[in-house]
Amino acid sequence: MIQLDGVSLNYKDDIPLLENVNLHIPQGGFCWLTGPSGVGKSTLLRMLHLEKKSSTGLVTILDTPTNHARRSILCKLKQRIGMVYQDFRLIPNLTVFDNVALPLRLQHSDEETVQRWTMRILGWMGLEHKKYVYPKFLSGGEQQRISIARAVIHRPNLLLADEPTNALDDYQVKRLMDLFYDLNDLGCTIIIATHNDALIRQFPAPRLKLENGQLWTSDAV
Amino acid sequence: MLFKYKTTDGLKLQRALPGQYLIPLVAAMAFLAALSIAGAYASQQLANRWSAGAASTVILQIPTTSDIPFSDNKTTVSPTAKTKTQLILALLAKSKELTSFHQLTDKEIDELLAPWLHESIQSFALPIPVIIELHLKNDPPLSDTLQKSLKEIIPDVVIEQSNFWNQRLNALANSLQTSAFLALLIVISVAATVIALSTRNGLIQCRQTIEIIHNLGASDTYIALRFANRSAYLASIGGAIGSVFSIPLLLFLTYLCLPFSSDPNWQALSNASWFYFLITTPFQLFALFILLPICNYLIGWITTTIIVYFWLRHLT
Repeated sequence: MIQLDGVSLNYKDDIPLLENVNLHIPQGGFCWLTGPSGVGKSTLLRMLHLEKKSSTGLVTILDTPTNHARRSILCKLKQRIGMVYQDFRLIPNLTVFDNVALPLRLQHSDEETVQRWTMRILGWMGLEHKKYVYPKFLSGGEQQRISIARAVIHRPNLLLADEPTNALDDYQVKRLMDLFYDLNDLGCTIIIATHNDALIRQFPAPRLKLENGQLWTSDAV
Repeated sequence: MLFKYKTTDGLKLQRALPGQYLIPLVAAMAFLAALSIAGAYASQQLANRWSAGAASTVILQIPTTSDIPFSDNKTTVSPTAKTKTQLILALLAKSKELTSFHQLTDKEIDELLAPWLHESIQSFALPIPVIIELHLKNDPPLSDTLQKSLKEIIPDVVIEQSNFWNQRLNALANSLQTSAFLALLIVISVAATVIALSTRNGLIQCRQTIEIIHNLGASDTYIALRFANRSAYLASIGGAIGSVFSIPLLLFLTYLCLPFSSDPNWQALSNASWFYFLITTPFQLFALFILLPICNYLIGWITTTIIVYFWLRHLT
């Protein structure tokens, strides 16, 4: 469950992005986050990913109040969240395999599990043959798929995706949405930021619209 | 192909915390620390010797009376002085202030005066006083009661307490020791600063990777330990190198300090081989040199852990 109570958020400490926002997304919810470019969708996702602190208000992520939580608790919480970044954020000196396996290794999963799960997700993404390749040798679409694989490999309870379909073709978008729906069926809460209206129409779900510092909710289109 | 599956988190610490700068700097600090430790140890030994030796020693001089006839040009003590000396010895034997006392024999007085007279005192018609060396349980001076009792037996007895010099020599030894410890503290602070700066540079280099793995759920402890273990490893290597390099210099300094040795045959030792000095170096000093790399490891580990924890606070 995600809950925001009277949350305000400033960009670079002085530009207001969110003003007194209230939001409730139940566990297993699925919604789109939309809004014009530069309105602060990525910053809101970063706040939900505990990378940024709200200026005021209470933020509850996966039933955990985070405002005054200890850093160790926030770290544990982050291990239950998957994040797909718009700029992928892959580690350049790690191979595709090691990048994807990172969340499992940080959770101290045994190496056999790491091997099995990583090979499985790479196979699903169609990138098994590139497991020893470094990110700089991959195309944008491939890097995006690696970023998505890294976000979902540890079966998160909350998945935040920032424009995850930008560099993908229609076929890959369809497969990706299938993956997201499968995860959602398993109880994972999913929020996808996009400004692709066609995509939203193709995969209807409740919509959060960020505009002028306010978050408007609307039912599935 | 198995080697390709090695566990890795992307923190290239060999590049972020290179040994080529940290090891020589820490080695230099360890070298200085070894010298400081040796200095502190030598000062402590000197202070102990002075306080256990000269500082707690009092000399009594019982003058021989001038009206006593001297037979055959010999420095014999008059019967009156002899009786009074025995009375004084009896008094000293009863005193609880002393650990021991000793009346110097003619031969010992000869040895004492030999540098000046070049002949036995027996050859001169000199009124040499009876000399009694007192070793006190505590620091001088003698208690007023004992001094009064001694004066009652022989009013012109000379009590040479040499307090003035003893106190100053002890103060000198203590200040040398304090200086050595201060030098050691400064060296430790400089070493910690060098490690802290090196760690900070490493953190800045790895900033992007740290942010990514932190956002993937890597705890502060995990990141701090990764850096701390690397730093501590490099610091201990530097410590070991500095420690080993300090040994030849310390042996040379030991050679130079021979005249201050408690060994009466120190002049004979000046021709001894370096191996002799090596095997006669006090065990405590060697133990400290073995502890030095371990201390460096701990300094490196603690400093790095603190720096990384503080730095990570900048990340949300």
